[in-house]
Amino acid sequence: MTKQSDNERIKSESNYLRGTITDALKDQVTGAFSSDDQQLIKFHGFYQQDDRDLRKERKDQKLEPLYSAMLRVRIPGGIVTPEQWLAANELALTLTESGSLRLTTRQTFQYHGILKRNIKPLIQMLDKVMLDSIAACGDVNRQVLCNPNPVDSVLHKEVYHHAVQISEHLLPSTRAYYQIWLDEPSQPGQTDEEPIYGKTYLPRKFKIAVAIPPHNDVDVHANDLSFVAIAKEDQLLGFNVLVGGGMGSTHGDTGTYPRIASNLGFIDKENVIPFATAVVKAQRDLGNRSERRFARLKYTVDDLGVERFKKEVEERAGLAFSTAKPYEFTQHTDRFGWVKGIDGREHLTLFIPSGRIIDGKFGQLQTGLVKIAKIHQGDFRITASQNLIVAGVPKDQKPLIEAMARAHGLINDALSIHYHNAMACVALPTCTLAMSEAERYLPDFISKFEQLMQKHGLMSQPIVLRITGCPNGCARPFLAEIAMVGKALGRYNLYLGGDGKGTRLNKLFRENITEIKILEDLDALLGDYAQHRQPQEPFGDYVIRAGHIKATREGKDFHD
Amino acid sequence: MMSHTHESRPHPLTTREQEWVEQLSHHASPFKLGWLSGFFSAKGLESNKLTDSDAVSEPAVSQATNHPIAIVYASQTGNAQEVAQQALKAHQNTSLNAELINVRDFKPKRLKNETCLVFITSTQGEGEPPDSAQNFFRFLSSKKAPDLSHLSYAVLGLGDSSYELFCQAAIEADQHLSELGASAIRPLQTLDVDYEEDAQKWTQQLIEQLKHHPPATPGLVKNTSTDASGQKSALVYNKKHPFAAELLNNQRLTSHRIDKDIRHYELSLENSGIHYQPGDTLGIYFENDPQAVDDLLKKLKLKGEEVVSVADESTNLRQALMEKLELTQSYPSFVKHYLKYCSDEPSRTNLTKVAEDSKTLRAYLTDRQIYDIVAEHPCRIQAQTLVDLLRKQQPRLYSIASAQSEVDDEVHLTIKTVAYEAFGHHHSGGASGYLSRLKTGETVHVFIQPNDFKLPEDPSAPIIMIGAGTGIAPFRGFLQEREQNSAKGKNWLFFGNNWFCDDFLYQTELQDFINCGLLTRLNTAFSRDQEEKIYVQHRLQEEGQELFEWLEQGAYVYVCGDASCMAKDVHQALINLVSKHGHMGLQQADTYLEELQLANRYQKDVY
Repeated sequence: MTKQSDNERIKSESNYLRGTITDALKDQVTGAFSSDDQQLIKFHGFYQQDDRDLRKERKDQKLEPLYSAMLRVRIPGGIVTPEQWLAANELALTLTESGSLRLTTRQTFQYHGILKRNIKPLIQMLDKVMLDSIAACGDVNRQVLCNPNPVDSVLHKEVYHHAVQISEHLLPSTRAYYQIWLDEPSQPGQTDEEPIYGKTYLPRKFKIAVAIPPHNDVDVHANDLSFVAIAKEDQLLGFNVLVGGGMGSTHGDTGTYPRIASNLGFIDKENVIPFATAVVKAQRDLGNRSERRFARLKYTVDDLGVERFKKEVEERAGLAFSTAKPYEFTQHTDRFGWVKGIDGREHLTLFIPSGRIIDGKFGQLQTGLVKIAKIHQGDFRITASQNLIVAGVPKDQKPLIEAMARAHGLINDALSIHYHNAMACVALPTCTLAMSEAERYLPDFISKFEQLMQKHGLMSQPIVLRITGCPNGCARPFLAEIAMVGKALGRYNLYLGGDGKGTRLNKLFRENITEIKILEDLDALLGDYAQHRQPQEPFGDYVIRAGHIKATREGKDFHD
Repeated sequence: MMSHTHESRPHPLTTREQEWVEQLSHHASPFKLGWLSGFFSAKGLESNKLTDSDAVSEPAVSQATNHPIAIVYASQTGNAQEVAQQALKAHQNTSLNAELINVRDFKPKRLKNETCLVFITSTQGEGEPPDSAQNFFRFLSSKKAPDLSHLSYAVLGLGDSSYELFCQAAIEADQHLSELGASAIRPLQTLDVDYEEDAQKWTQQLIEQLKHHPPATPGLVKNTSTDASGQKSALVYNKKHPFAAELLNNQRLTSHRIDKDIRHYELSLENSGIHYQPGDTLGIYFENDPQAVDDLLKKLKLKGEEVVSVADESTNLRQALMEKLELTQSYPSFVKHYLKYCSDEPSRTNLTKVAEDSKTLRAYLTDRQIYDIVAEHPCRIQAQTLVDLLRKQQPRLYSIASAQSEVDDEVHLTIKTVAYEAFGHHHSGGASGYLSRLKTGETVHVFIQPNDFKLPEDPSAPIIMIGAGTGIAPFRGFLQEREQNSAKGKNWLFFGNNWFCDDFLYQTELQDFINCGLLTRLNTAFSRDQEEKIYVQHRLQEEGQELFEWLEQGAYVYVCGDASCMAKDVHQALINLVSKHGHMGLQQADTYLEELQLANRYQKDVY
């Protein structure tokens, strides 16, 4: 047997995710966790980070890096009440260095800059408003996505219910979180068990999404396991089950690649939990535990072959898949502004630049949302494109909420569609993996990109543009029509040819180039596109037809 | 048998080694000699290579094989570490003696004592060395870097040629080493992402070369000619004859998130022959802030060019104010004499009133420097009169923050820069302001002021160090000394300041002391990190039981920091914990501490 990765040892020795976290919280010498504990805290919902802008300076000052935690909250389907919103925002103000919330592409919010001494108080306060961060990160099923569409309220409600059930069912059973953070006393003689995961949990992170066609806002191809709702009129019949999507790859390692999910077939809605559990167990048993680069489900599926993997799932579920039902995705991004639901309620989708809920150059977003939350009677829904829906507004409150949103920059007609179609991950200064800027650089890049679009008369043409600081894919770059993936400070790999609907991967166009070169290349390509495109032809399709880049048909030919 | 054949054999040491041993023993105290004899006999026992026959037949080779080849790696993602580990294995398969060291744990000063260095480094995106190697690179390019003509080396760089500055870190390391006089065993080799095979080849070739040309005998200790010649040490530096020490480092220790500015200074004592003990203090002569001098001259409508006499030396007024006279610490006698020269009646009356009551006067003088008194009470005064009114500048004394056993001919200080706005004017501290304005390469006049604050003579005695703010300074020296002497005694430090993230002085060094096992325990108290203020005395209380046990085991207690609050509170906390855990009354606990003090086991350095 090949040697297992060190993470397997850490999990196995951790006493069901406890490690030495409790001791670390008492430590008076460092703001960091031990390297083993750093792996375990992920299962409790947070990562250790440090302010990389300050690293060198602090080293000279003989101070350790400015360590803090980035904590993600578990909010299946991304729905929170106004009370929860207010409490969560208050915690950001009082217990984090960033003083703000950041919405993420996994339909939740995360806190940046929680000093070690503030982690426990913050988790305890979350608990008071019925929120937790259990398994928000780590080698385990994480936050479950669900299309937040409030319009088809009946169908959505039922599908959303399934998403919540999946999330609850796949939670780890260990009491570690409750004992460490919420001071739950341990019962004498009580032992932990993990009936689904076992004591080494999964080989790697595991992401689940529930989609409601025609919307693919949750990006089924970026998830390990997706349930695609099949409905007849408003009646939910069941789901197609897709496995093995995923974005992450490693620069220079062609053995790693982003992958489009494979459709295993249709299941009845009663069988969601057995099938979800079976896929998780199959990955638990068959996933690669020696090389973390190859440990995601997508590699397990490709190693075994789709048919063999399907059998493994069926065996574990004791159930069989039926033939997949037809469905079509036509919507991929959020539609901003008001829509009216079938129940007569109004829903307002707000564009939140890079998901940052801050008072800053885009307006008083944080203050505005607090004001709205104080009067809002419906709920808030975080989208998978890190935007926010003020959902379930009664007709008579619509003008008031609209006025508040406009007054605080939450509705801003001056921002072009290119902002709306762009996305960036957090990257510097907090992300430990980032090799280049992303979020901080996005507005600057978009304004330059807009100049090109203007020059070629393309201002009204939407193009999905994404920037990430590394190839792990937090902002799902490999599905974008244009993607820039960080290589080093100021240098990116440029990818082209995604279809912008989240169903076709892009491909590497130029490696390790600077902004000047990127703009030069885009200038030429956009000029060509403006002249020779066919009506309605998206940029991502055009570059393939015109031969600028080869189409990527599946994950394995991503590098071809 | 040994004694029998001893005379017929040649002396086991070379002439140079004999000289060295002579020198070593010549300067050593009886205690050090005792320690050395134990050290050498233990070395002899543990090393079977150090038999007579070896030493005599092949002294050079035995030295060479005894002193390991240092394989030092600087790794960011683990590749360089992997190559280094393989290199170590390859060496171990031969007769060569090698040691593997992460550059993070490699004290650059060791280079002086190494004979052969194999350095394997990767390069980061922007051509920078890995984080772990930043100290090492900084040292190599700093003034502190020693002559390395005794060193042979080989550098291997790993990189990614898609970056502009391919293997830059390795290129720089090679350049620095060669500039310092070290000789390359092999030319620099740089490898791209597919490095594995070439790295193996490189190691093999290196080993072949080393086998045929083993590195030379280590230069045991640098020639101490300055000491031995006696010429330089004829000059004794003291308060009257301070030494002009070059500033080697002026480094802020507090984060830029706060205003408080505490600095770490490193000064060179090279060629001064100055020796100090951990716990001693350093006297600093300083120059007043030129801006403050100008402001004062302007207020008094004086030019600065006036010729004046200070202590029978003739100079001009500006220079006298800059270098000779006290301007930052105001004092009652100045006010009492100054008021006679006040030009306007109301301000003279006012100042006279203030000066009448000594309490009022003290309060008035808090935070006021000479300039403030003058600005508030204008007067017309002759240059020489002003000079005569002012006290002569007294050098400021600071606890030394280093041990010579660690830093050789350097002395380190930890000083809070006094700077504040008051009475519509910027104020800066005399010496602390002066030092903070100095750039490296400039000189400061210094002398050693011995102090009673001393480590126990018995290296196995436990010590408890309690320091707040810059009060940590002497303890840094203590810890360095105990590390260098491999002192067996346990060490416990209590450190207090305001904010964990921002003014945890020497945090990373203290962490290193913990990791290497020297610092047995470290408790910290940061008063403003939570609603209720937590100070070191609270930590003492919390640890009362164990602290008392340490005292009973013969621990020495040291307190350093602010005299007015901290030392008193700490003293009270000690009384309380002795009373509680020693099951005695407060009076008895007080006596317990007094006895400690008499036995020199409770020492304070407070200011």
